[in-house]
Amino acid sequence: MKRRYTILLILLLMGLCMGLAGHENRVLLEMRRTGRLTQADPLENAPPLVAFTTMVLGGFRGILADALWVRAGRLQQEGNYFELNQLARWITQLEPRIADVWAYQAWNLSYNISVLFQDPADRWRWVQSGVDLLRDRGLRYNPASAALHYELGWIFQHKIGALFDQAHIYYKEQWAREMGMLFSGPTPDYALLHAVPDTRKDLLALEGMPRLIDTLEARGVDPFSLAITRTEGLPDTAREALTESPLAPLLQAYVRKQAMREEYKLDPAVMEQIDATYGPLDWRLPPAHAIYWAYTGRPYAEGYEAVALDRMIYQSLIDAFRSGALYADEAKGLFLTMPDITLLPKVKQVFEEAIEKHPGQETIAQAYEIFLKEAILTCYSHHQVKRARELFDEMNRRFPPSIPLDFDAFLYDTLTEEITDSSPKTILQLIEGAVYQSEFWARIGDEEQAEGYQALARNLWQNYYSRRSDPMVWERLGIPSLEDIQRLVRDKIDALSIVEKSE
Amino acid sequence: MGTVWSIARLSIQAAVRSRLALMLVVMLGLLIFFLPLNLEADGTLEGYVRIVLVYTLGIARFLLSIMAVWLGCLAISGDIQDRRIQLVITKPVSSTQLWLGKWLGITLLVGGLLVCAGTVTFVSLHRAAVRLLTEAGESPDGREALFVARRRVTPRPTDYNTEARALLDERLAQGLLPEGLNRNEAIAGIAESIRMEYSTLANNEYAQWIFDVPPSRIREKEPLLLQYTFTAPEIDPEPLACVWLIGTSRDPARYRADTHSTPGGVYTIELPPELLSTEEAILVQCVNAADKPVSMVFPRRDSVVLLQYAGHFAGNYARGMAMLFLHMAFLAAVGVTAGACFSTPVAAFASLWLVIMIGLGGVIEELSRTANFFNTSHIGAPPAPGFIDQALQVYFRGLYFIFGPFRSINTLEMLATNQLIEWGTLLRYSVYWLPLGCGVLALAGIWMLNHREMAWQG
Repeated sequence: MKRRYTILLILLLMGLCMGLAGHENRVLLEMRRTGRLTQADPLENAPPLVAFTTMVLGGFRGILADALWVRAGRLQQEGNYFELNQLARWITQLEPRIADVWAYQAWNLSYNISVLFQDPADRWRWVQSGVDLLRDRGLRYNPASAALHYELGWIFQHKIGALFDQAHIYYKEQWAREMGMLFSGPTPDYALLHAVPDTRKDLLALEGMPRLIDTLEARGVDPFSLAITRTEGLPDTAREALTESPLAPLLQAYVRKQAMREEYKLDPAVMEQIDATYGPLDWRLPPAHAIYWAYTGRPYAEGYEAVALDRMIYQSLIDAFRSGALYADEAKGLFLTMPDITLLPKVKQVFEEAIEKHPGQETIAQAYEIFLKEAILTCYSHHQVKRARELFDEMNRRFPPSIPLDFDAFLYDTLTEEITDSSPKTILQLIEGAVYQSEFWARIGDEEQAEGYQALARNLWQNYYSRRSDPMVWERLGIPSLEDIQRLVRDKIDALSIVEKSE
Repeated sequence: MGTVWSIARLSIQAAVRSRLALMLVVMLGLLIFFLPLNLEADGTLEGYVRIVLVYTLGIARFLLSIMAVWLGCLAISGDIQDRRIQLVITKPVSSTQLWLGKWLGITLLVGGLLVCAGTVTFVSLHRAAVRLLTEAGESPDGREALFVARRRVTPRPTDYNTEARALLDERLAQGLLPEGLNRNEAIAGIAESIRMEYSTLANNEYAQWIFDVPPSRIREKEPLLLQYTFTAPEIDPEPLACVWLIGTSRDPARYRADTHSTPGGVYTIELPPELLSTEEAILVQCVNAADKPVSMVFPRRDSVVLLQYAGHFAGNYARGMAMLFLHMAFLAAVGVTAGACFSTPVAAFASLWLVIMIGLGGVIEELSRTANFFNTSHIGAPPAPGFIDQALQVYFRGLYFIFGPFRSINTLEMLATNQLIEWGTLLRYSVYWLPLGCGVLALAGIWMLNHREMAWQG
């Protein structure tokens, strides 16, 4: 009897201690939060493996992580890549709060391993693995890590968005195709997304919605899959149900919104803010996503990280200015990115703000000067002479040259320089500008001017091609044929009815 | 033999009653069924099949190894501790029969579990392959390409020593080298430099490798694979163009492949099977066709290999399982002998030490070749090894002599990468692990059983 009481007493004491510890834990967590001792709250609802490794293994998980790291290195060296994705996940889950581990593993997958494959599809899978690792897991455990936001943005800005990877065009096409499932055009329909309920329960509460969902299910289609956003691949009966129902756009928008949030971790409200501040951007292209991740990481950044994220924003915005307008037509095999001159005021505004915010950073001012130079040329070549002159005046005012040049001399010097050693994006802007001018003059009847600009476009294209005739290099640069550029410019002019406006 | 079987049966019964063994079996069952659901491969079917194979069987091997060692340790030391041994040794049972019975019982138990784990994994791999292929809209017959075994044919070794010897003699005659240098070491060093020179291709240079592929082993209609890897002295490597010519000495350009490969990767070129319809050796040539001045370096002799079809995966898998079984049998012998020598906890630690030493075979081999343990500076000529260096070298050579033969090949990775496990390899390891390893351990265990006081009062 006495023994039973003793056991009961011990159990009671244990319960009391546990209760006290639980209470103290909450207080400690609050102190940790208010004292900014950690970046984020303790892991909650983590997968069993993560919970197990972080709680049970304690300090020993470092040893396990080392062993896995060594194995990953050896397998990578031996060319056995099939395990590396899994090992990267385990290594990061063993050290879920060390941002550098996530950053290294994602970079290794997206950069080091992807380039070891020849097939662009294989490469793209590895680039995506890096993106998934950071976006779906790294940021889940470290939501307040500015460094991880930067790393994710960098993959979009540099790996997918820049020209350095042999398969960058394939990446861009694949990404645009994926994003094409989320938005019908370059940007989401924000008004519709606002109107859509946030939860499935609220959606089903709409009158007629359960019937539409039942109909789709009965016709063998998952009503909550992205497949319903494109009617092409659906069975005829399902397509009919979608076309006939007035609720179909709402259901499609709901599915898109969910996919944006759950799968791509894109918050439509933040995208709208970004578009209002920097855009409108073409969200099918990488610069918009680089800006998104830099923008969402910005509130957590201090010191150098803040400069780096601001730099990512303006650099990506420049990229969007240079090639942020997408012209894609799968049927014609057309995938071209062209300058988006409408972004010019936004780029200028971002530069002004960055210079003001980081007065000690001379590189920002230097970058602005280079941008203005490039923008003058782009505007001039796109027949926006007045705007080009305004930019020229502004550049001279802000960055007075040691040897003053007049507008024409400046244009001549810059053009010569650009033709000699400019980037493919810049040369594409120049060629497009020349074609644009040629079309413009042809339409208003000045054949001589038109022929002159046509010859200039041809010369620029051939000059650039003659110095980069290696098929691998040419493929990587992604400069389209002159005929494709001409076709595209004609379509643009038709769409904008520029000739009529000028008249 | 009847006595041995009886003891084996009893040791199986005792093992089945062990809580640890039961726990390990439950863990094994759960992991085999649930682990594949949580694995993420590289996004390809091939990758998925391989990762499931490596991890499922890897965990099965790990758990069964623990079980073999632990049950082996308990088999005799546990009986002594619980005084059950008195029931056995009071009967006409020899020490040999006792050791063999215990070992056989544990080996059969662990082997049986290994067969179960192996069979479940094999079946689930095939089912997963069929399911994934069907989901991808492809024919389930496509799995045949995944489940094969390929022999790795390395190039014919080139004798660089003759050239190295001649060069050394020439330098010595010119008085460019000191008289008292170690001739063998100097020849080995020069031979390695010559090999590296031949393996480094500047622009428009070429290297060649000769492969002896016996025609009797060639299966028609199955493509031959040329696998290569190389490095380049570049910080940020970019794909380099190279031209591969494959043929025979009479017709060296029978097949041509133009590739662009990034240094550091491992690449495969599929060659037509008719290329092998000759009894001549296969000649492989590689020309560095990069459009910039970058050298390609093929650092090892097996930087370029041929992978030749050598049968279906099932046969290879069975040989792999046999290799794992032999290893388990050896571990069981380690445990039983340790249990015969020591009490349970000491036996467990002693077995663990032995298993670690065998696992560290590669490190011990490297240490046994190390001359200077303390002075590792790479600047200037290495100093003569001191007394401690020499003593350590003798020690590590001794360790390597004892443990080296029991090092295992990486069976699971070979299976996962479709590499053939040759019958010869299986036979060699059978000899190492059964008559040699288990035999030596059995003799030690039996000797201890004969000399140890087991019926103590306690």
